[in-house]
Amino acid sequence: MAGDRSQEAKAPVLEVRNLRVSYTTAAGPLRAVNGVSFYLWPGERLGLVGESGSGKTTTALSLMRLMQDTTVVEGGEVLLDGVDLLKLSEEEMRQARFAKISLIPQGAMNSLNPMMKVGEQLRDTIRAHQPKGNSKATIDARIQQVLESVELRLNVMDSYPHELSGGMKQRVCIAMSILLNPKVIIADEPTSALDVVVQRQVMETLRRVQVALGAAVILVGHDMGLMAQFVDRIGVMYGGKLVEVGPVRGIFKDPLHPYTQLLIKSLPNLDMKDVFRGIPGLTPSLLTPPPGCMFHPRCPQVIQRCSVDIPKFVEIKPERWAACHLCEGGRQ
Amino acid sequence: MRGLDLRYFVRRIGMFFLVIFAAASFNFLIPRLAPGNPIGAINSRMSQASAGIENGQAMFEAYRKRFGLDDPIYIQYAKYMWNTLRFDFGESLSAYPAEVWEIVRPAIGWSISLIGVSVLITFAMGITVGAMLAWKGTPKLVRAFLPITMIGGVLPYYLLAMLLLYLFAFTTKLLPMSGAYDSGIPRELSGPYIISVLRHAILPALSIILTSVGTWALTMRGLIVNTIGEDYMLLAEAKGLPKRRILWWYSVRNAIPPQLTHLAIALGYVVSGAILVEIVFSYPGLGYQLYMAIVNSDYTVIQGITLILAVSVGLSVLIIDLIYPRLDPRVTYVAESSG
Repeated sequence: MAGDRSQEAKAPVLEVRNLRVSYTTAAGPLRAVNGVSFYLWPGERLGLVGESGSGKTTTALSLMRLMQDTTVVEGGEVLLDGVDLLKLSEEEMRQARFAKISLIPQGAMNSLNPMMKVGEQLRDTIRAHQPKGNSKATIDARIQQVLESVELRLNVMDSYPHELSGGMKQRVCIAMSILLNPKVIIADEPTSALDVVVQRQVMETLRRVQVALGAAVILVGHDMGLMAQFVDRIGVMYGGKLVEVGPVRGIFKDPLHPYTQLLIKSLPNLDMKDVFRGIPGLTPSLLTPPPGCMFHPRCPQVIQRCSVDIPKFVEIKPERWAACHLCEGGRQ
Repeated sequence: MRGLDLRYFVRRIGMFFLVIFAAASFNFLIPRLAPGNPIGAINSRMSQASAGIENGQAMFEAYRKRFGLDDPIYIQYAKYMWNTLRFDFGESLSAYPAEVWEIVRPAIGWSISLIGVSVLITFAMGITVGAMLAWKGTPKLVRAFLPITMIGGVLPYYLLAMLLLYLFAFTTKLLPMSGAYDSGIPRELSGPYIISVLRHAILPALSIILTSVGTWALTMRGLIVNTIGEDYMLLAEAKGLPKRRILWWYSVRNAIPPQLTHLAIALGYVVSGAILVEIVFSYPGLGYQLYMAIVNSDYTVIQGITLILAVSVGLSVLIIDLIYPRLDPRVTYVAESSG
């Protein structure tokens, strides 16, 4: 596993400290990301899971400073190799995108420009970062290299996106994301639009190119099964906060946070075919968040403190982080 | 060509000729349904000029015979169609013995150069203004200035034409009142002639441009706003493309195909679209000639001009149709049987 002792001497490639992002709405600011902190080792695969509206995609996109007009980064740091991306100028950030931190987008079906040939969309990615001196032949040679690495034929370069299948489009997006050898790749539910078989193939491809490149990956999604197969560590988000982070085996075997416990219990299980358990209740309103722990209105193990104090996100055991009063108190 | 097969091409061309045939038939019919009579119009003009004509009835008959107006209507129709096929629109009824073609040909030139160029300028300005209105990268100062272009949109263009005429020609005499060139200058490609033509074109062109830029800009803004939420826009920004590249090659490129269809139709109507402007400025374009022909019940000139109008609209729509697979690669015209 990439995330353990052997790498501890090294510095993390990405460190997020107390990131806070809100959306401006008619009803007031909506705190979508509320004090998220985590780190990412070089070459590591980290999964961010959570329900819809838990802030996982907002977190991921904020790392690249990709936001709408209504999004405000209220504070925090995003340190990529020690450089705070949130402090870069617009132009410096533009240069960093895809060269240092790249994205495999959520809507694979519509993420390519329908009016432009695939080859041209790969070329303009390179040109945007190396404007002069590179001949078309050099650029195309690099493109051919990455297309081969994602098992696409070279003739996709002359195709328009609508002429490709969903899996092929997603492979093009993967190829694009590694064109400039980034250190970090953010994969935002990269397979949510694909069927299960193609999903597996695409994830295998992603893993292979990521390992070959040595890039770290943040995989955003809500498919715990996919996470279990793909990532080294998992971060569980709830109501705009990370509630638990830990190695994937540890989390599945011994989840610390009650939310994580319920999440894992709700997975379909071969031994218990009949019941299909969800988590009772609804996600909290981020406009009027509950006091104390965000999860306490739904938590089966709720205690007095939960509705008063906000639990701190702390390392409970080596490598195991959680934000819960029960764990803090030295459960186990 | 990509996305286009021979069968569709042939079918589409066939459709074009069918449209022209139908237009030509209506063209023959409609002036004859309208009240008034061309020979009567000539007669009354002449009698006004000289207070009574001798043998008026004989002349009336002679004219009717000369122009074939005494034939039964179906014979007239057959003759008309046969002549139209040969691009022979006959002689003008009111300006006899001038040929229709002699009247129409210079008018086409004036209309295409004045209105065609105005429409193209309007299109380019409207697209740019609309794109910049929608684009968040537009500097604030520019953005504040842009809505001014909308003001003209609420005015009818002939009213603006009269306002401009009053301000710049009548009051200040900066620009000429009417016509397309100064009659004192020889009509040849010389500096003074070109300057004179341009000076005459400024006010009519302005009245067209100022009143229609706003509409183009508004539609364009709507189309651009639609692209902004698209997934490919997020990826384009994530890729680190420069803003300008994203605006023109991702946003505008996706928004523009419907606007080009609109442009093709607008260009097709160049011939008739600005009749009132041509009248206000006495600009010798097709619209003005058409108006004069209608006033004089000049069937043959009306037929000539409206047929040219039908052909130009049909032709520009045909062209945009045939090149559409180039504009939007998702569109293909392939007959069902060949897949």
